[in-house]
Amino acid sequence: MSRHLDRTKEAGLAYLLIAPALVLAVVFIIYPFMRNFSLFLYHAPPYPGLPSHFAGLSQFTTMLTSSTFLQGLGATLLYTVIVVPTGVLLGLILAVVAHQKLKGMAIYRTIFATTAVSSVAVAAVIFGTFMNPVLGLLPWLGINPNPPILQSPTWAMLAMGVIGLWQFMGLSFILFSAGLQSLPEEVLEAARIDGASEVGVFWRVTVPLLSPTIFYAITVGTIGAMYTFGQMDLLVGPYSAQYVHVNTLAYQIYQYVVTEPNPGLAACISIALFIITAVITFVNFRFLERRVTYAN
Amino acid sequence: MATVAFRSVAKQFGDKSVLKGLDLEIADGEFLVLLGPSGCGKTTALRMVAGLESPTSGEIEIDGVAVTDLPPRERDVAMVFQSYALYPHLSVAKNIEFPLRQTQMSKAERAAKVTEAATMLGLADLVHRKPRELSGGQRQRVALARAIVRNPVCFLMDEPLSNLDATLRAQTRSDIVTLQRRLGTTTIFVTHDQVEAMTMGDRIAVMHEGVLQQVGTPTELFFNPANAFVAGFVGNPGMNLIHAARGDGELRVGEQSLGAGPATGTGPVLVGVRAEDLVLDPSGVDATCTGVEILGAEVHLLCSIGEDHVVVRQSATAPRPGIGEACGLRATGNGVLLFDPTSGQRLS
Repeated sequence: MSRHLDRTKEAGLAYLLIAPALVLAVVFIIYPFMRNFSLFLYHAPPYPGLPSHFAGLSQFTTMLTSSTFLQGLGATLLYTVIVVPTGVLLGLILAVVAHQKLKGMAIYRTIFATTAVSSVAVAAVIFGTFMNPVLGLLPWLGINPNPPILQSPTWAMLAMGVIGLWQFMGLSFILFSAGLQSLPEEVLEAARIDGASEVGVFWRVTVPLLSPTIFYAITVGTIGAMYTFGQMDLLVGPYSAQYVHVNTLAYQIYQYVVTEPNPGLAACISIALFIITAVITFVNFRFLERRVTYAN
Repeated sequence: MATVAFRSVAKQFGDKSVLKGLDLEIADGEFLVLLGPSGCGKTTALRMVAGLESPTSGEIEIDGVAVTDLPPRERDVAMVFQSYALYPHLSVAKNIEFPLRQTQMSKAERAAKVTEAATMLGLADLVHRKPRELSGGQRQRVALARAIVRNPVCFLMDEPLSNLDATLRAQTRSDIVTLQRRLGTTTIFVTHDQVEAMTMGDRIAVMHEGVLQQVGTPTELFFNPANAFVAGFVGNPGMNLIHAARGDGELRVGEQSLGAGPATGTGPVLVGVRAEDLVLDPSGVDATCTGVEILGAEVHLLCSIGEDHVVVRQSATAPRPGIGEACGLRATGNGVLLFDPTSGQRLS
């Protein structure tokens, strides 16, 4: 009997301890996820307060064939392709440079790491100023295309990519800096004694040993890029975004919630984006993780 | 194969001087052991030969040529690390082949050399495995195979046995010596384990606090230590060091006789006597038994004579005092050595 009481008490304590995490998970993850599915299945009423109509999968299938969605998908993938590989490569190069034991490296490291914690609003203000067709740095340097960069279907996405790259490079730099710090020094020394040049040590030993970090940076970067819309909203805006091909899927979700409310469509795009991200992440794991070597 | 020489080599890390003017020559084909406690500068000295550290002053020479400013890859030495330092992303075969890939050697020639090295070290069946799939002893052998495959002028080994269990360590010790004799390659082997040093080295260089204390054969170091540090460090157990006074042809602790001493000289002295030359004798100096280590056929009696702690080696069947009991100790035989109690230098 007393053993039964003890176990009941123990279970009670266990529930009490997990309660805060459980409440947060229900409010911020499980409920929104379920609510998203419910919105996905219903047509939003034309005016707030009117009843919703069950639509099944019809909203989703219509969305999949719409030109706006397809253009948004293309914009999202293009943005990811611009940001992730370049961000990973630049982050790695900067981390290797900052890893050298030279004077002033602490300042250099801080400067590069700061971009990871800068908000997209700050990034948008900085780059918006650079690209301003009248007062910006680029016109001052003689680079002033017509139409201006942010209104050009050719250049706007590249500009968005540069801003995303600036932010992601900081994260990538921090990840690779941590990765380089944890490399077994003796293995690198063994390679030098075995006759490898510094370039040889980098490509034949450092990069393979950093493969878990590279894989992590690609996965995290891809997921982050797929959900980007901040700079598109702050620098281009909803009315030009489609024209200049920066209307990413995440930005479309934002627009269907805020500027032209259509919660059902927003939920459909949200689920599509979730599936696409899951597939890309799965492919990453399936094909990239094979090449990853975890030391011991 | 080559000679290696340290010419007045010193090394400072900030304010700390870890190597103080090392002068040492290693002959062609010799197996030299750098022996000393942690922090004595032995690994730093080895890393300087490899080119992984630069001396603050002095020169390193390989085969009479100064290599102090050459990068590691241009020194033609091979190193076996304590952690083995295998490339975790490469198979055993690729690990062994790695140094050869940095040369102009053809693929077929590389493959032949890898097979030869792997066979020599009993790794032929493991060549496709990754290091994480190997035991400690197997990894150690891969590291050795990688070192021998390109026939370097010198092997540098930094405590390569310290991660192995006792049985495997004894076996590998003998394997390394056999391999070195067979290849005839000059070898510098760093260890803090004096048993390894005594059993492996042609000569041993004992270091302490960045200073070379003595260089000699294992026998020379054991029977003729240059100072109290070498006497206490070499041998298992090390030489007992007892504070005493000499006079009238006797060595005395207080008023009691420890044993016969030199005919001349008086004053305080540090008496060095091996555990086997110290015997239980009620007429000797007063001591207390503080512990007993049973090693099978023999036992080590741990005793204290005043502030000094000593070890007495005797047969397991001989009568012995219990722990905490008083006993008398006397030094016998010709193995009694005298050291200056202040400088530690040998007097006799």
